[in-house]
Amino acid sequence: MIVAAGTAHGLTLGVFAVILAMTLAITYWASRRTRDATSFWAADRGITGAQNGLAIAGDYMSAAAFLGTVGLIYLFGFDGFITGVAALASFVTVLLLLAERMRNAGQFTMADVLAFRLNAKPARSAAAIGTLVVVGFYLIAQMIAAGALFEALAGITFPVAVVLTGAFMLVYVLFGGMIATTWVQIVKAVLLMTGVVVLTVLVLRRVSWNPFEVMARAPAHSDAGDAFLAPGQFFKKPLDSVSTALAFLLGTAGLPHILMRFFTVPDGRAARRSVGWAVAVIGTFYILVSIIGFGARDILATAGEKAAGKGGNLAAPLLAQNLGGGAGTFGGDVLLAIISAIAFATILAVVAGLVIAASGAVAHDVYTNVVRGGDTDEGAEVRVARVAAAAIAIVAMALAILAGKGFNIQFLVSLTFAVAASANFPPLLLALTWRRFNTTGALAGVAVGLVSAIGLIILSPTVWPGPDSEGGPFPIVNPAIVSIPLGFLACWIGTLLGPPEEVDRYTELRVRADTGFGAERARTPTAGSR
Amino acid sequence: MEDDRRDAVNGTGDGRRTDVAAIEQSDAYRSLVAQRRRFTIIASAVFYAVFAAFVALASWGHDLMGRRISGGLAVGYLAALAVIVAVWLVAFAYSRASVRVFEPLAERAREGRD
Repeated sequence: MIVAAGTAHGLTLGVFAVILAMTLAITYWASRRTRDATSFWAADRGITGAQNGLAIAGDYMSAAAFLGTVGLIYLFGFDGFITGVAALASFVTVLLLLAERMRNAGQFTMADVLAFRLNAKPARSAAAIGTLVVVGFYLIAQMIAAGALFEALAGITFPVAVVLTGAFMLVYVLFGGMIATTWVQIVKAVLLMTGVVVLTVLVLRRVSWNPFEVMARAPAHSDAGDAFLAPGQFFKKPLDSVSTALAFLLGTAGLPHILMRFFTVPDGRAARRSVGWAVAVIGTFYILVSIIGFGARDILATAGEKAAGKGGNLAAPLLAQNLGGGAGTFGGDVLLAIISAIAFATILAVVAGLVIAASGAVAHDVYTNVVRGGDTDEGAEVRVARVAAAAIAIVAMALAILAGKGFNIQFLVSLTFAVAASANFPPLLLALTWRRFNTTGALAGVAVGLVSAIGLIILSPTVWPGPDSEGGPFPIVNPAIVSIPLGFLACWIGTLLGPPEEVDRYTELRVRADTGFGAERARTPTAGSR
Repeated sequence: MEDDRRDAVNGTGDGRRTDVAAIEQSDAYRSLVAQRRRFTIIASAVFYAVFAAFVALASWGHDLMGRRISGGLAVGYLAALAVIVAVWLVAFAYSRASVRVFEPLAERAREGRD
C-alpha cells in the first residue's frame, strides 16, 4: 500500500472530481438525446467507426489491463506481456468472423443473432444466461478492484468506495444510456492513453530514449536475474500459459459488452473500421505498458515489491509517484494523483458498459422477447432496462462488499474469459457459419461451456481446496484449454441429437450478415421521433 | 405472426424472403462468399500459426525466448512485438480486401435482387 500523505489523497480526489464532472456533463448531454430503445442500447447507431474503435479500446482496457499488466511485468517480467499479446490477438477473431456480421444480423444484444435462426425463446434465454454470468462475474471483479484501489489511493474505505463506483456507473447508464456510456469510454480511452504516454516518456527519458535499455537494466534489479526477460516466472507450467492465452484469444469474441458495441455504428463497414481503430490503440497501449512494466522493475526494483501489493496492482501509481519526484514531493503527488484518477475513470467506463449489456439481456431478451413474446412497446422495454440496471448494480455492489477487498479477483477474471470463450463464443460462431446447427446444439453448448468452465475453475489450483492452495484435482490455472473444446463438442453433439431445423432462416441470416441486406438501419440523431 | 417460433425483433415478411432467395442465388453473392471465405481461411491460418508459435515458445521454449539479441532485446520480446505487428497487418489486409473486393460485391448482390 502506498504511504501517501493527506495531500496526495486530496489531490487524487481533486483530479478525480474534475474527471467525474466531465462525465456527468456528458451524461446530461446524452440524457437529452436518449429517447427510445435504439438510443438506450445502440446510441442511435450514430457512433462513427473511429469513435467506436476508441470506445471499444476504452471498454477493453480495464483496470486489469493497465494496473494488472504493469504489475505482472514488474513482478514477473516477460510473462506479464503474454496475456496482453493474446488479448490483442483476440481482435483478429472478432474482425474476421464477428464484427460486421454482428452489426448486420443483430439489433441490441448477442442473443438477437442466435434467435434470428434458432428457436427464438430457448436460444434467447440461453444466450441471456451466458451474458449475465459473464457480465456478472466481470462486474463484481471490477467493483472489488475499484474499492481496493480507492481505499489504497484516496483513503476512502472499501465499502464506501464500492458504493460510489456503483452509484456513478448507474447515473451514466440510467440517464445517458449507451450514448453516455460510449462517450465516457472514449474520454477514458483518451485519458488512459495520455497517462500511459506520459509515463512511457518519463521512463524513456532516463535511458536516452532507448526502450531496450530499460530491459537491459531491469534484470539486475530482480531476484530472477536474466530469467526476468524470459517466460516462466509467472506461468510455472507450460499448459498454464497455453490455456490462459487461449482463454484471452477466444474470450473476447464472447464478451457481450464488447460485441454490443458493434450495434452502435451505422453499418457493417463502420463496424469493421472500429476494429481497425481498436487494434491500433490497444496494440500501442500494450507496447507502452510493457515499457512501463520493465521500467518499474528498473526504477522501483526489489524494494518496491511490498508496496506494489498483491499482483503488483499498485506498481503503476507507485512508479508515477517516483517519476514525479518521489513520495512527499509536489511533482510526485501530482503525478500519483493523475494516474490514480485515470485508473478510477478506467473502471467506471468499463462497469458502465457491463451494466448496459446486462440490462439488455434482462429487458430486451428475457422480458420483451421471452416473457412478453415481443408484445410490448419500446417505452416499457427501456423502463424495464433501467430497473434491471439498478437491480444488477445493487446486487453487484452487495456481492463485492460481501466478498471483500481480499477476494481473489484473478479467479473472477479468468472465469469471465473462460465462460465467454466456452459458453458464448461456440454457439455464436456456429449460428453464423454452420448450416446444420440447431437449437438443441446451442442449448447444449451454452450449458456445457458454462458448467465445465465454472466447474474446472473451482477444481483448479487457484481455488481448490482454499486460499493459497498448492493444487486442486484439475491442474491448470485456466480451464479454457479443456472447456472451449467441450463447448464446441456439446454444440456438435446437441445438433446431431436434436431435430433438424429449416434452413431458410439460416440462409436469410447469412445473406443479411454477409451483405447487410435487411440490417437494422442507422438514423441521424435529428431524424425526429419514431 | 407468420411463425410462432419467431420473435418480434426478427419477424420476416414474405416479400423479403423472396429478395433473400434472389440475393443468395446471385453470382455476386456466391462470389462474395467464396472470396471472403478464401481470405478468412488464409489470413486465419497464417495468423494463428504465428500466434501458436509464439505461445508454444513462451510455454516450452524458455531458453530460446530469454536469449538476448542485442542489449536488452530478448527473442521473446521481439516475438511478442511480431505478433502485435501481425495483428495490425491482418487488420490492414482485411480492410483493403473489403474496400476493393467484398464491399463492391456485397453492393452488387444487394442491388441485383430484383
